[in-house]
Amino acid sequence: MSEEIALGTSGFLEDRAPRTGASFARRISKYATLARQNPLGALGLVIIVVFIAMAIFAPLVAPYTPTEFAGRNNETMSSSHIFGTERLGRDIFSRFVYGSRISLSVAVISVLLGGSIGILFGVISGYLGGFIDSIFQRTVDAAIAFPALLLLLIITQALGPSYRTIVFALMLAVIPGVTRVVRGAVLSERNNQYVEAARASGAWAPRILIRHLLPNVVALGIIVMTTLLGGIILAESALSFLGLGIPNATSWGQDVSKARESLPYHIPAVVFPGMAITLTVLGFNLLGDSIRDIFDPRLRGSR
Amino acid sequence: MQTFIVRRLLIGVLILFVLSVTVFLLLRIVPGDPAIQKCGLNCKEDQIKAIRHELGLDKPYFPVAFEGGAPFLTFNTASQYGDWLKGVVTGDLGTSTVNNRPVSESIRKRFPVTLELMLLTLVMTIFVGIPFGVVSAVWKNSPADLLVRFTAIFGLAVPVFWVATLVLILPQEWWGYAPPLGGRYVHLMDNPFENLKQFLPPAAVLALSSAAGVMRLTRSSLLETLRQDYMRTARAKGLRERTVVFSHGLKNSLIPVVTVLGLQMAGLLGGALIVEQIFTLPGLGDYTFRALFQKDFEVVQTMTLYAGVTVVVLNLAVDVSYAWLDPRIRYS
Amino acid sequence: MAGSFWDKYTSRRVSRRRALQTAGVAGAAGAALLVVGCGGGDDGGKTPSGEASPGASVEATKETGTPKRGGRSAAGSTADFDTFDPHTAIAASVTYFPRLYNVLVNFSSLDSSFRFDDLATSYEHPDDLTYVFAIRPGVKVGPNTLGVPERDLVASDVVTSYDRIKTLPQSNAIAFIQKFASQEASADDMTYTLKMTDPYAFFRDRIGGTINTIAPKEALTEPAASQLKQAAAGAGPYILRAYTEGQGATLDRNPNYYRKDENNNNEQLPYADGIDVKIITDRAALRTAFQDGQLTSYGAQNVNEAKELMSGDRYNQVKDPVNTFISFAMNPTQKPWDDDRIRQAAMHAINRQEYIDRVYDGEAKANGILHWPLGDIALPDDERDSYQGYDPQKSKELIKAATGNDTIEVEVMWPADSAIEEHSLHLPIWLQQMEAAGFKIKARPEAFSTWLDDYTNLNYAASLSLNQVYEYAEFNLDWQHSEGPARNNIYGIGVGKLYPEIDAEIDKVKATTEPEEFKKAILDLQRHIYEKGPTFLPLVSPYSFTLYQKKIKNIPSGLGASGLYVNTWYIDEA
Repeated sequence: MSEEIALGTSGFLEDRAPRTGASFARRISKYATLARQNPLGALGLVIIVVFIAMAIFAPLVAPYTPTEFAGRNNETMSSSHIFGTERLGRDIFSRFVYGSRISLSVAVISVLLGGSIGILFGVISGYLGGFIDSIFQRTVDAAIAFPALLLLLIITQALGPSYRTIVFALMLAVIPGVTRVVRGAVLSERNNQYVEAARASGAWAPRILIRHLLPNVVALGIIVMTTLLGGIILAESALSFLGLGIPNATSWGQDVSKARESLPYHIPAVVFPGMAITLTVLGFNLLGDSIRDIFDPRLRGSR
Repeated sequence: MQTFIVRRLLIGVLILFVLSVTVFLLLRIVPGDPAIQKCGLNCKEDQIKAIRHELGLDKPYFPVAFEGGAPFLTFNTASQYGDWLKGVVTGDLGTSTVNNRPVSESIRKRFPVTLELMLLTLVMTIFVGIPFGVVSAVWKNSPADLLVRFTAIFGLAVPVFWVATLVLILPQEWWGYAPPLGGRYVHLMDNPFENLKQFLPPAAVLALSSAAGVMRLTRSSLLETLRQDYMRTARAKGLRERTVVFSHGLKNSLIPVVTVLGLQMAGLLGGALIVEQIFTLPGLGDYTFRALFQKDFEVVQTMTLYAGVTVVVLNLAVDVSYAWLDPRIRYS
Repeated sequence: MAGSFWDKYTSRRVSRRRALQTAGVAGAAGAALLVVGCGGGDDGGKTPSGEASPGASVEATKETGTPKRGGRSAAGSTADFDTFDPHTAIAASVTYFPRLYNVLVNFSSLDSSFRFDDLATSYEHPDDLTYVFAIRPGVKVGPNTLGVPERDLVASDVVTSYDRIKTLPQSNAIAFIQKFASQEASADDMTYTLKMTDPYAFFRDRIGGTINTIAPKEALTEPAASQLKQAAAGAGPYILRAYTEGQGATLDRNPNYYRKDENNNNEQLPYADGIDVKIITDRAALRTAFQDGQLTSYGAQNVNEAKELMSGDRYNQVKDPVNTFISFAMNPTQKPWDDDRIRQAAMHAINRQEYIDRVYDGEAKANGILHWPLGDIALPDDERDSYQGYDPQKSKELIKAATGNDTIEVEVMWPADSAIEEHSLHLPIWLQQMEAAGFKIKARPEAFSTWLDDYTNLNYAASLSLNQVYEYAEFNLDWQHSEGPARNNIYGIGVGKLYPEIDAEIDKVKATTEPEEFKKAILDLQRHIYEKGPTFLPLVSPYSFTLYQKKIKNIPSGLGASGLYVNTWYIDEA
């Protein structure tokens, strides 16, 4: 995850072209066409939709609950257990299905929270400029390049492993990336004529922010947030793998961590949860890339 | 330019200060008294006290404290944070609270392992990432491009710990091969073959995602460059396509790639935490990880600070090199 | 060592500090950091042991060939060495003390006929409190870097060693050694006399424990003592040639070793040139290294893994009972566990067969208050089950009787980031069983260090706890004692808190030295504890499966930790 975000540090996100609300709306209308021109993005969307559906309708999709002992230990793949059973006889497919709930919910919540804070920080930093902006930017630079896993581990160790802790920690990891992009956007918008005009007409600063800057900037923030979702899922699974995930939850990362000890004789228990993580992240990355390309081609290659 | 560097350095120091204080405090939220754990079972109250003293846990946290309300500052000549910082600056980090071995010595011994892992990863990232990125850009939308792009996005999606596990175990299952595990770290100069057998698999695992990133960046950066006017001019001049791409295009488009590579080095430490465990490399990632779980406060503080310093310095270096590589950029 | 379990714990993501913390638990358990594994390869995954164990299946690899000289074995350790100081070390280091140092005499808890006279050639027990050991001449210290002369160990080395254990604040001193009233070396330094403060039923077990390791006195005083974290000096079969933090240790044959092989023309022991200990924290890496031939032994994670590995007929396997278990601890000073009926309800909620089947694939047995590998001092199965048998209906009735409600909410803590496979496998089963019996579990998962802190400081109502290596019945009994194993209230959650007569009875059992009387007393004690509702419930103890490369011959097996003292194994590359 850190690697991906780190790729954004080259600094060429900042000189983005100004975008207006009108062009944004126009792009929306082009969405369907563009999606057709974006097979990889469409594939990502399909993957994500499947996983989200799986999370929502888990009880209908999964033949068993994730915790029930549905069969003998380490059963191989069969019609009653299509992925086989794991070490305790729990159904691997059911855990595959239910595992999406933790991964997706943690990722979405932490990205939403962190994204909102990032937008706020970006707006403050970009609008105020000057010394405060410098401080923000240097902090963001450092935070983006810093090995995120190390800080995540310290935080989860300190606060004790729980759903809330994980969301909090991952949220912190989201903030810098969003801050940087939003700040860049604000910077260019700020110098736009209509903002200048509003300022000249004596409009109050918060009003300018809310009326003129936020709508554009929020859309941009959301795009960036989409591109970050995959990385956050990876981070959550890494924490789970290292034993600092959500205790006693059905989590892909934890499943890999436990099953890898029995890998030689029972490959499905390791392969399927790992594949679930990969697929979800892949889906989000493909989708995020495409959304970014469609809405803001200048951001291309920023990851 | 000089004022720019000075200003950046000052802000960098400020960031590092905030980082170190935050980590310092976070570690002290972690429940559990190291003294009790160290003391073991027949521990009496005064023994715990003695061990706390020995570990310096009875000292106040900071050199400066507010006591009895805001205006009354008290200064502590000995404090946990102050003494640790002094140790970092003087290079004497005291002894590990866990095994009583000198921390500086451990770090010195483990540093080459992590450095080699990082460098090897970097080399693999460059030699895989950039050529494939170029291929992908030059033959845009060809099957090769699609394949490279998909591989890259896949490389960014796989969890490191999962790939590392598979890379460790499956070759043994299929072909009866395993890299040398545990035991002695063989120095590259002593026995390059043995050394590479140890380091190539973990470096390859780490390089997977960073190479994927570089591949994507190279591709988009080169595409961007190829669209530029001067490229058209070059082509119009009748230069061969190869010359256009390699001598004009690539040179210009690699600027962001190279700088990003530098920054990746810092981020790789996160991956090293996991990969060093799985491939049993006795490096700093392994050390930091153990220290974290063993509540070896000062080691974790030191390692985070070192990571922070690396990041700040690399960031600055990136910006400076940017100005240097691209004369249009001016800092004030 | 402190057993596979701690080993496993320290595997992957943990290590010395954890191992240290572990010592807290296992330590409190009487610092029973008893050494595991056997023979050649060392580091079995698990601690085999038990006393005249029912079903201790000994699958020895006795060879008929002539032992060969030379070769090196390679062992993996999931934990790093903390120090080679014989009196403060824990975890990995302790496993290697029988290789480097000496004890007076060692008895196997698994094979009652086994006795290994090390530094003592014999001992007498003239009265209940006195033990007189005759020191063996010629137990010569090996070459070392600590500046300790290569001389014979004498009685005063024993005195110095035990004094140090008793007085060093961070030593693994246990209740046992605190009961030493006086010790004395004879004028010629060849007789060692020990007087105890009280008669002590577990003397035989404890005196040979690795915790009571004897080292030359020069090594235990400055300037050598402060070097012990990197070096060692002793008269064991091997000497420590090198140690590198995070990487491993190299042990070489001690040319001065006193022992000869009586069965092979009095050849000088040991046969192997040395042992390479590699630190491999990751379990998957450890197994891969073994499969690749980089290690000569490997403690299988479970029976399935052992079966899979054995299928190619590439290894030899040793199966032993293990003295570890996951336990459920209830703090009787906190509600609702002060109510005997609630504790008994929890007791009947536990279906041990399900753990045996699911976690251990049948290769385990149910435990009572004493775990089954301890042999016939544990209550017979039928009687045990008449007290604690699985009966969720009864649990519900007891809850109803105690509270008037059908269910009761209880807070239970456990170490959440446990890397110990067994614990994470027990947990989901345990939660379901408790819920099914009318307990509403309010989960309190904690980071390991937090958990251990709360566990030590009794800051909990109930806990599903990690297993420990309990080589002797003493530790299980101490858990039922109000003041805990060290008599300082650490881990003091015993049922004795509610019923002082249980405390008195435990003390009485521990002071009963006559074997028949002891057995009767300890059986009665278990019955009485059951009647009051035990506060500490061991669940099940499994078998361990240790695999060896075929080139390792003559592995001493069926001896548990004591196997480490026997050095007649050899390497035959052919």
